[in-house]
Amino acid sequence: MLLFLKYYSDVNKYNLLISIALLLTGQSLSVSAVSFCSVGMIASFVIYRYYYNIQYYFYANAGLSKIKLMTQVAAVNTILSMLILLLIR
Amino acid sequence: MTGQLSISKISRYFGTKKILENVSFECRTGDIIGLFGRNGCGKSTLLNILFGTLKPASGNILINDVPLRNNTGQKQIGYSHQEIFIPQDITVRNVIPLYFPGGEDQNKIFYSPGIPAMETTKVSNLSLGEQRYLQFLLVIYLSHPFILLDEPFSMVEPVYREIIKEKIRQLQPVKGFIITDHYYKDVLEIATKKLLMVPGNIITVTDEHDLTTAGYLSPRQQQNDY
Repeated sequence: MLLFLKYYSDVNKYNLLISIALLLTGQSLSVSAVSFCSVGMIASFVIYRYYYNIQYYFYANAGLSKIKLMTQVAAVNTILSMLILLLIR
Repeated sequence: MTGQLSISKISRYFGTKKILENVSFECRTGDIIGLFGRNGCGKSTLLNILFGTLKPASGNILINDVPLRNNTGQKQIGYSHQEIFIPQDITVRNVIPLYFPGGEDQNKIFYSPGIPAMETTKVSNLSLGEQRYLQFLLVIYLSHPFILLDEPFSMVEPVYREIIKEKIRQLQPVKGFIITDHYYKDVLEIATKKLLMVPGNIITVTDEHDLTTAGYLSPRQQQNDY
């Protein structure tokens, strides 16, 4: 769990920045929330892979493959985004 | 319990370039296999195939005669990569519980020589040799029965190199090791089996003389220390 949280926080740093940037440029919270589980998240995976690809070995040794990590992040982000969308409706 | 890792007729090509062709050998619990070879001969490629991060063009990897389909999920083979893969932005104290949630397992690392002194230091502030030593400790104490070590001695100061050899010997009764490093004297010292990768394949060697004859060492190197 701790290991996944480390990856989750590292990869979502960029995602969160993208969502905040969208809000600051006048986009709605809905757009920002949708970005958090779609375009922003994909961009975060790409950025993480570019700068920290070697760290996937760290997680793989502990049983977390790249696919598993990315799937779990996508699932958590989708749930969070849906909750935000429901709250602001 | 004795385990057996069987590498059977592994081949791998990059484009049309043949990197590995029908490479076969076995590693049992208690084995320390020293894997020698010149740069580009396919050592790291082979280790990545064993770890599961590269797919072979053909061949099989078996653990106790059962094909290994998903090493990451099955946690059979641990791998200390030649590059440092530990996240750089956390302290040594905080990185250890990420791998070992239990206190007893954590203590094996916390009480290893040299670790108490670097406990509060961020990984990024450790020297490359210290990072490599920490990475080595994290991987060898995983529950995986087989451990791959890519350049565990490189850039590591002599005191830690001796500790690394001691730790490998301590775990030898319960694990199998495959080690590759150009610090060949250290590898020769601890290896129970010595294999040399020559373009595309693998041959058994016994000492520095064999490594020289096969072209891995020059005759002058055989006489001198690195």
